[in-house]
Amino acid sequence: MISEELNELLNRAYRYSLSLTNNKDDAFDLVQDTYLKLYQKNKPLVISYFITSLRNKFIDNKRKEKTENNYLNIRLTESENPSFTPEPYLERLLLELKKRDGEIIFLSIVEEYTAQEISDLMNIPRGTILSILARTKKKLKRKLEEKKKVI
Amino acid sequence: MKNLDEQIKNIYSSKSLSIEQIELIQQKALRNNRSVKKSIKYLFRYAAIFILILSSYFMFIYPKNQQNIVVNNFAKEIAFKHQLQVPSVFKGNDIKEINSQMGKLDFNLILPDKNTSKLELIGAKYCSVNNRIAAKLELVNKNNEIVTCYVFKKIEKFKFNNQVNNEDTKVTFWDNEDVVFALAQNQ
Repeated sequence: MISEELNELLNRAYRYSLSLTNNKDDAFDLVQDTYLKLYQKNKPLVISYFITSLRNKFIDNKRKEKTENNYLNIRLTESENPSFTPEPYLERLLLELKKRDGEIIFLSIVEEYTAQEISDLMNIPRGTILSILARTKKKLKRKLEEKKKVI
Repeated sequence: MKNLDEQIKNIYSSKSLSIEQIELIQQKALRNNRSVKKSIKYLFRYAAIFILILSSYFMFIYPKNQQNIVVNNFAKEIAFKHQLQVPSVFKGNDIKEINSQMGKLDFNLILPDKNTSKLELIGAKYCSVNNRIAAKLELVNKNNEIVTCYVFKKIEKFKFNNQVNNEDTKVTFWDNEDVVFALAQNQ
């Protein structure tokens, strides 16, 4: 019997994981591995702790794959074969964002983290977070407007 | 146009794990936990057994080994000194007289109380055994062969009550309340 809380927690973690990986299978594995680790070590199963652990696990995995240097510069090439079809258009735009920018957008808008909380998690200055957030939202709005005009 | 934030939220909230996926995650965690607990249980069990064996070794076997090593070392030294045949300094066959002359000893010098019925005292000298002050009694048997008996103060930690054969010399240990006797004779 799965509790509502656990259901909610895992789904929130999964969505965050998707914002990092853009891949359903990778996102699932990441959530599973993180949950396993926290469960074994008897750590608190709260979303903030889960997100931090999941992020660390993601970075560890990337280091092992030796792609840490490319982490900030991943373009559409990685998400050319996303494991889900990006509909509507906004979803495709989100996939096209730099990983870092996409993560900031997710944490700010979906998880409603403050800029300071995102700064602490990602180890990026608060000012930079605010700047990226504003710039990315502006970019997304502009592209959506352009698409609307074309239609 | 719907608010951008709302649109983004909607996109992500449409992404969910299936019930099967969530159950799988939960079951794997439970299974793993059980096997970890089992491993820990086995680890403790083996650790306890290991500690038991180790303590038994140190309680029973190690002291016996130490005992044997010490006695053998004493026997070696005594056998060597016996073969040197260094002559006595204090001549005579009266043990009380010799005891009174050997005032540096930290024990009362007496004649050995075993194995010496047919041996005659002819003298004594100071010596050392394992850096402890000792007396070397020079005795002669019925065949006029020199037999030496080393006498030193008893060592509480070790028992001296066996015979050790060291090359050409047989060394027989025994003790009484105060002293240890080590009778050395040629084989």
